[in-house]
Amino acid sequence: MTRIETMSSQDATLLLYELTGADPARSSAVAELIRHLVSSHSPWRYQSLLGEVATFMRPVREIHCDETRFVLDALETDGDIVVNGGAIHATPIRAIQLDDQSFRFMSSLPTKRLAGLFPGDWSCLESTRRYRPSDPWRVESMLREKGGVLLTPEGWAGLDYEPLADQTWLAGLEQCTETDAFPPESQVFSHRMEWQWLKYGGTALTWQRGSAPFGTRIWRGINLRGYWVYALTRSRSPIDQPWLKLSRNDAHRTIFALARLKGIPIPVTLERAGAGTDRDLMVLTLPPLLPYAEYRYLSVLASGRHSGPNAVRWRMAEARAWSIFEMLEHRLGVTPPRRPMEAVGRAGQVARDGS
Amino acid sequence: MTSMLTLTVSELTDLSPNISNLFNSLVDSLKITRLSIDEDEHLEPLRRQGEEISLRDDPSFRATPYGRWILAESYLANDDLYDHLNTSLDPITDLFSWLKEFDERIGRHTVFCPRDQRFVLTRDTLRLAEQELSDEPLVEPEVAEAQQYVTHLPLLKMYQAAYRDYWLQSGDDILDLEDASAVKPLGWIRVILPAPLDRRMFIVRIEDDSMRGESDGVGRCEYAVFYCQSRESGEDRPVLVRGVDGQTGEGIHCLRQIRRDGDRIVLVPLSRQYPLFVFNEPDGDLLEVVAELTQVLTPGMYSRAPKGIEGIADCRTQHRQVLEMEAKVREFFEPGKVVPGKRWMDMSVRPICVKPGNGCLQVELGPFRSSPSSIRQLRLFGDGWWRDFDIERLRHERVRVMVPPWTTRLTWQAVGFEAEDGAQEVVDLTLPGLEGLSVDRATIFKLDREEVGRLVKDQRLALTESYRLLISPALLRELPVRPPVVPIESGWSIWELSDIATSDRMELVEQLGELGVELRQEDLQLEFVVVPPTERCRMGEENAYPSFLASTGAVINLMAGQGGALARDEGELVLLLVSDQGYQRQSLAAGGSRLLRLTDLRAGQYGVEVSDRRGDLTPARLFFEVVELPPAYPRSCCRIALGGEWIELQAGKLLVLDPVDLRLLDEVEQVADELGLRIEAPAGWPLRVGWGSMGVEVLHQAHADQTGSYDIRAILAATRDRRHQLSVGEMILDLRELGRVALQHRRLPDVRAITEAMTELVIAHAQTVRLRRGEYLTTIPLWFEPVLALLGYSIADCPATEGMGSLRVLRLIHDEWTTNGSRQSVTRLLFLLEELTEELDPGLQCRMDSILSREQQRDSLLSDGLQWASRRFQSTLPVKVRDLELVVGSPDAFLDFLREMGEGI
Repeated sequence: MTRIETMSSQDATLLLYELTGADPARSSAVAELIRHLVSSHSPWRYQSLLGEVATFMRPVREIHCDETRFVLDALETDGDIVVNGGAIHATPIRAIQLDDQSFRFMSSLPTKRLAGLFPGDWSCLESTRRYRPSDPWRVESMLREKGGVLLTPEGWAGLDYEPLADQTWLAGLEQCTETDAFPPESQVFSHRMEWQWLKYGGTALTWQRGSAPFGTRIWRGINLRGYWVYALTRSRSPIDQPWLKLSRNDAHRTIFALARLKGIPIPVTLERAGAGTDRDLMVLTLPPLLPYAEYRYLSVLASGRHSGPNAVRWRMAEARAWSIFEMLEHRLGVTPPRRPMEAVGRAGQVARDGS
Repeated sequence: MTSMLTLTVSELTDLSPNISNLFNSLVDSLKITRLSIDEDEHLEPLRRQGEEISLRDDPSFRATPYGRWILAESYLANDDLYDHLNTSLDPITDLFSWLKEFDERIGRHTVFCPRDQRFVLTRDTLRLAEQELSDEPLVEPEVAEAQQYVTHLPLLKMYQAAYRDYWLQSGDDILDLEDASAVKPLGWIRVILPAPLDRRMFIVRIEDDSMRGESDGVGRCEYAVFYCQSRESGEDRPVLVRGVDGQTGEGIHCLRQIRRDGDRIVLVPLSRQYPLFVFNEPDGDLLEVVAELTQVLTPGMYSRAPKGIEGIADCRTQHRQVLEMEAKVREFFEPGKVVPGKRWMDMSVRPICVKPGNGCLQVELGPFRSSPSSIRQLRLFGDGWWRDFDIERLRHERVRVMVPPWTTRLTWQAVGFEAEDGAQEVVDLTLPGLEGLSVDRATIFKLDREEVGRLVKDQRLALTESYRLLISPALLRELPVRPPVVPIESGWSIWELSDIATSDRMELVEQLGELGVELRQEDLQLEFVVVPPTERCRMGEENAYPSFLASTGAVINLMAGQGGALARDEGELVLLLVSDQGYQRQSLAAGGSRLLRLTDLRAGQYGVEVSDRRGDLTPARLFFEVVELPPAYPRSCCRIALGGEWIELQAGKLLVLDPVDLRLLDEVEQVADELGLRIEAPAGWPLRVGWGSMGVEVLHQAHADQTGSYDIRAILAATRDRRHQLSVGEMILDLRELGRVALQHRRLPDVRAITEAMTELVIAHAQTVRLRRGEYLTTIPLWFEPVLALLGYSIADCPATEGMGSLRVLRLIHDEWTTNGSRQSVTRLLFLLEELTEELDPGLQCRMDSILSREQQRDSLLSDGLQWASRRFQSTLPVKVRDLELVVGSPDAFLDFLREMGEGI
């Protein structure tokens, strides 16, 4: 006989905690809920999923759609979901080996279900999931059995196949603008969007509302279907000029390409993590706008955490720091901090030639 | 009058001034009030001061039968109200006005006593109590011994009735073992029967429909009087029997008719849906008749007066509700709701309203998967306009067309219907759902999650939903206050309503009233929360439902439209859970949480309904499924087929396929698409198509559809120029980390095509070439470049021509294939001469050899435009000159020409 019990809001919170394995107040619980929903049905319409997340969270807490969008962006960048404009798709199981003992898993399957398929220790950091099996040697064969794949970090990031953020990239977009641009004040989305423009600040790259200086080329706005639309224009708002619709990934690459072209420095810092056992760790702070390939490459070598809305702090071994910088400089034009190395200590910036 | 009463009270009783004052003030207030008063509540202050007083001490007051007090002169209208409510069935919404009117009819001050259990009074609304809305017998838990079997009969469950005598006769031992409730009646019912009551009588509420015939018998929820006897009825009356299967020892009790056939006894039901039982005494089967059904009780036979109304607590109402809900669950989950081959004319048509503005009114149709192939187009006719629907599109997808507001019924015709004689016919059709829009009240479109307004018939708005109201120009003109509308075509307007719950309700109700629309003051809504489903399934076109794992169960949130205020008395909301395994009903406690967790669910299909006992609110329903296992998930597998052979991609790696002429892909796609390019990946997976001859150039991006396939035609269209213009290259299909594949392109020249193209060139440009001999700026791009392209070369200037006078030299570059892919190399030089003859000037030969030597080439072509020859390094032999104008006319000669001049053909 079915048990029908009333439950309090606290009971609901506990139940959600049990289902997602995370504090419902944190974004990792929202990420897990989204994974549940996307695994149950694919594709989701973006707007519908925003509503569904709010519905399922309602007894526990109010969740604003901006927070859900933020988590969806993170899940997309980490490869747990695929976002195609207004449609959100589930993804299969892929894994990469991080070290001898641990693996990172990418999939829209909820962690509980993954844990059922792959017994061992599971941990979540923001939207990424780490797996420590009892027998690491068996993981590849288990993945094959369960329809997944084990990738190399390079294969996962796909750097070899992604274009550089440079003049060639921009030229390609210019060419597309000739044929594919939307007219200004386009009614394609049935309503005029409130466009935000990207400000290349000295300390952060930020999206701004209101009037933008002449020459602003990168824009974004939420359309009627609830998702961010990114736009490239010649110099003014998409309301005034034809605009080329970009995917989020392409928009991020374009942000770096424009900065490289105009010689605008990207705000970036490199610091020592601290003293003691953390002494050999460095913290690289970057804007949260990396293209997917570069982000994924970085996320394999370092662990990233959002530090406010405009920065991600990447902790990495000191030995890796400059190879990462080389990659970022070559691919995105991100120049390393120029200050010469100060005495090695807490939060001291490190120059490129510092040791 | 007041003073006289006061005097009377003072005179007749020797009361203290305090008491006297209190009584006088009570008299005054009771003259005004319409409700009886509670004695304790009013006298408590004086009693606390030690006064021993009661309203009984004053003849100005009298007690109601329900223990409260009214003025002796007032008229207690409870019975009149009771009669009125029983007749009208509707509650009295303004009790005090009703009582005032009653004053005038009887000439006395009329009051109501709210302690009367027959009523429920909420503010000034009076309705009959739930128990009064029933013709269920009144079951009294205990009655005096003197009443037992005299005025009352015991109510027993069927199994109690079957074994009660056995248990009672078995003594205390058995009773100790069994629950005492086994023999204790459920209660007592006062009955009025034609014959006197007897201790061998009892009442049973029938538990199934086994003895309900087509027009007679007794069924579930009915009450019947039984008479204990140990013989079989001679009149085919149902009897209550108990028995034991001799072989299994299994006991049975049931209500059946008995048929004897020798030693065989057959227990026969009236309904064929229930089983027959056969007992064989020689096999050791035992059967005993316990009692005979003597009377099916009707409401007139028991103490509660028949009301003719079934309340929600009524057993039959509940039973009917369950049956209805079971039917709804069956209907919802009916397999193949959109049945293949269903008559296509039955397909519904949906008027919709998208974001307000011109063209926001649309008609949505399709998909018509089973539409007859003989029909090509559907035409929708309005008043002076029509819109066409392409049937081919309709077969595969849902199609919307914009329509102007329509006030007369829209009609359909099938256009392009081919008759037997081949003539085009127009066939009239009847498609439902497109009656004219109302001009005197608003048409309501309820917004779905995609913010598409869908036409609803209900003229009531729920507070929690969003709507678009379509208003005719005439109606808008008549409105005293114009709502914030957006004009659309033909003077019609749309009013968007999204935040009804937070709007100024009074004003909104008035405005909506003018539009013929009501606002539901309170409504119920159910939604699944907290526990996400394991799968969301789609049933037919419209119905989607979630599947939950049995291990997780489900959580339902019950919401009211009016800010969540479910101001209901305890137990007035009832949850009914129905599945193929049965049903459960549960009252929802007042004021408690509205989150309901369902656990211990078994796999199956469920429907849940929440309704209120009063029936004021539209019941809310949800349907869901419970499964034991989670659904399949996408596999990390991508594969590609070319020529009908599938190749699986390796994750994270680049697969390079053997070179083919990718120009042929278009032709194959048109002629035999199963042999063309096919790509499969997880649904929604991204694909980037690039061209990789000079670094990867992105030409197209796409996502796999729900079947995991990509639109190959779009891929071919995006790459057509590269495949047709370039002789070599790589089409890169980048499926990200799941694999990448390079389709190597090698243009395979085909002699027939080259002949045709060369002939066209000769016809088009021979005259010009002849006249402009030596004008290389003109003739190289116009003539030499395309001719050489057909011969398999691209060209580049040769810098070694300085100091060679009018001699012009070009490098002939050919794309070569190696095991590592394509490679471009200079294979010959072309010497452009003003005039080409068989005998070459020795000085010219020397200069040519010098250039060949510097360029490290051994072979060269010579041409003056139409004449062509080949020459090897240091050869002094006469060359064989071929006139292109002549050789294109002879296949054999042209083949020889190609053999000598061409490269890689």
